[in-house]
Amino acid sequence: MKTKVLQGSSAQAADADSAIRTVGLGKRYGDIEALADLHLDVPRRSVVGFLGPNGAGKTTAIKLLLGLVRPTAGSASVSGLDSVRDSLAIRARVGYLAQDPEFYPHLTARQTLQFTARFFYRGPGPALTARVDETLDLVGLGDRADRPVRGFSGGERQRLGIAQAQINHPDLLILDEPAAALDPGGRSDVLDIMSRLRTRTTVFYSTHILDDVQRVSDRVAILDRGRLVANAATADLLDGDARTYEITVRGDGVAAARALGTRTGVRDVVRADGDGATKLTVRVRDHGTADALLPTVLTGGDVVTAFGRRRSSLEDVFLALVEGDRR
Amino acid sequence: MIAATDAPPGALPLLPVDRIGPLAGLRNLLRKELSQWWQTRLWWIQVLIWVVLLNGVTIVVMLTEPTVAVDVLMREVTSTFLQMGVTAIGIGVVLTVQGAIVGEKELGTAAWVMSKPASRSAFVLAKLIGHAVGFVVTAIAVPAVIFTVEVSILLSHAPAVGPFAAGVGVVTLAVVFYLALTLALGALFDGRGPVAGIGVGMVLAGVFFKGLSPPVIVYTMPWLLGDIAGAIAVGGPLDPNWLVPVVTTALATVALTGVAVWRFGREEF
Repeated sequence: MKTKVLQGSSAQAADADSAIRTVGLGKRYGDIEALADLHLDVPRRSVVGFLGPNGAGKTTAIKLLLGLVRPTAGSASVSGLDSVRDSLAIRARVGYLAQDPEFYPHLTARQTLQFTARFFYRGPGPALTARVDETLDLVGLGDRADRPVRGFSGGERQRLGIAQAQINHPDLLILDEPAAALDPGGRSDVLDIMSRLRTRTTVFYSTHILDDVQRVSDRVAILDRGRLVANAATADLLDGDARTYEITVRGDGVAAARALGTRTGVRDVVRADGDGATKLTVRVRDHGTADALLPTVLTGGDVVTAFGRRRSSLEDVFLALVEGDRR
Repeated sequence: MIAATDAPPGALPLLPVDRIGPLAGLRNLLRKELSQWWQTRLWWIQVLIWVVLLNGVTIVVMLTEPTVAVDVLMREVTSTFLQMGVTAIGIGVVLTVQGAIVGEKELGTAAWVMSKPASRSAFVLAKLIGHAVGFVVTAIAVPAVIFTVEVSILLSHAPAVGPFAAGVGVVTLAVVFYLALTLALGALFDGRGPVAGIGVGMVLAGVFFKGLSPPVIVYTMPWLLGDIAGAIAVGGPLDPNWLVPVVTTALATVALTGVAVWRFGREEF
């Protein structure tokens, strides 16, 4: 499989600044390679989206970080602690939301949070109660706090999952598909809380909802079939191809396309007709040629309504990396 | 609506747990296990079952054998009570606890708990201690007290406290053995079938094959504990090797607990 790892400049975080660092991390289940040679750095105080299609190995990677499964290759550290040797210490500092969170069905939301909090704190009772109440309010479950979890909807369960993950105000929040079971309003709420929490914690979350990643993530790591295919700042990924430009002109744009196509340094021109306008996508060999694009079109008498370097959406990048490999 | 907030200003400071070690989370997990016994219907259902079964049978025996001398009847019902206790409670333990570990693995709650700073040893030991307390109180202590009262009323004789307590202690050993066996099986298997099948089979093998098996097997299994408990309680003749099954059962209980801790420690979630 072709592997394209985009390494943004800010990815070269020193070990001390890494909330998560993996070196050649891998996991095999018999003949199945669930995760292979994962090299990942997650800087502190960042929000990192961990993307990949279903079965890409995201959940396996997360469970390896927490010590819930053992690696068959490489190593991982969280806040400088080894994921195998120091698993308990890691779990004391991390908040984790599983993909399909399961809780004791007979406990209420309040009892579930009290139970969770007691793994981290020994008291005093009033402070524990205050923390639980605060966390219930944080996720909007205050009015359902004393209902048994067995009657919760998927969205309520997810909110409780986020609450229990951050009851200890962790250094690092690891969320596995945190918004998957939520309606649009709930999803938006979750993204808001993730954005705000970045001031005090690192958020590492897996998802397959690309819009969410583009909205809140500082960085993006993309996994495909157990292998990392991209790891870069979101802005770098979306910066797109620096040698592709888009020019929108009124009319059919035939003359402009012809004029651009005859210029030295232009690789190709693609016309796309719109409603009374035409978008010309022009690939150039160098920046000097790019500088001459607009004058060339204007000299021909065309009216230009938009001009700029083509920006990628995360979906473009994702599809190019993940689907491109399959072609 | 979810709103991100920091801890409110002026909130009481929370004290972190003292240290993270091999038994991290034990106290919290044990509290949860005990609450499942004492804050749900489980405790009174268990009390009801064992009082009806153990005390009911002994009352029936006392009322249907009025011609037997009181001291003979006293010995008979005491032995019956303790022997039945080992077998019936043994089966009850297996059936009640079969899902303690398997169920949590199936439901996903074990994975959730293990994502918190809780050790795997603590997870298993909390179940052992919690269920041991639950069964000792509801299936052994309560019926034993009621048995003493019923015997005192119906036969005007109370069993000798020391020997009877020693007999109850032997029953307790058997019950804890079956509990450790069930937890070990729960850690070893992923389904309830093998756990219940092997556990109940182990109890019933003692009932049906005790007299047919070679002595080396009989003395290293907990199958004689009911007879030993009865003999101790009524001051009857004891097998000269009676200590062997007591010691081997105690050692096996420790070994099975070790197996449960070891196997659960290797579990991947």
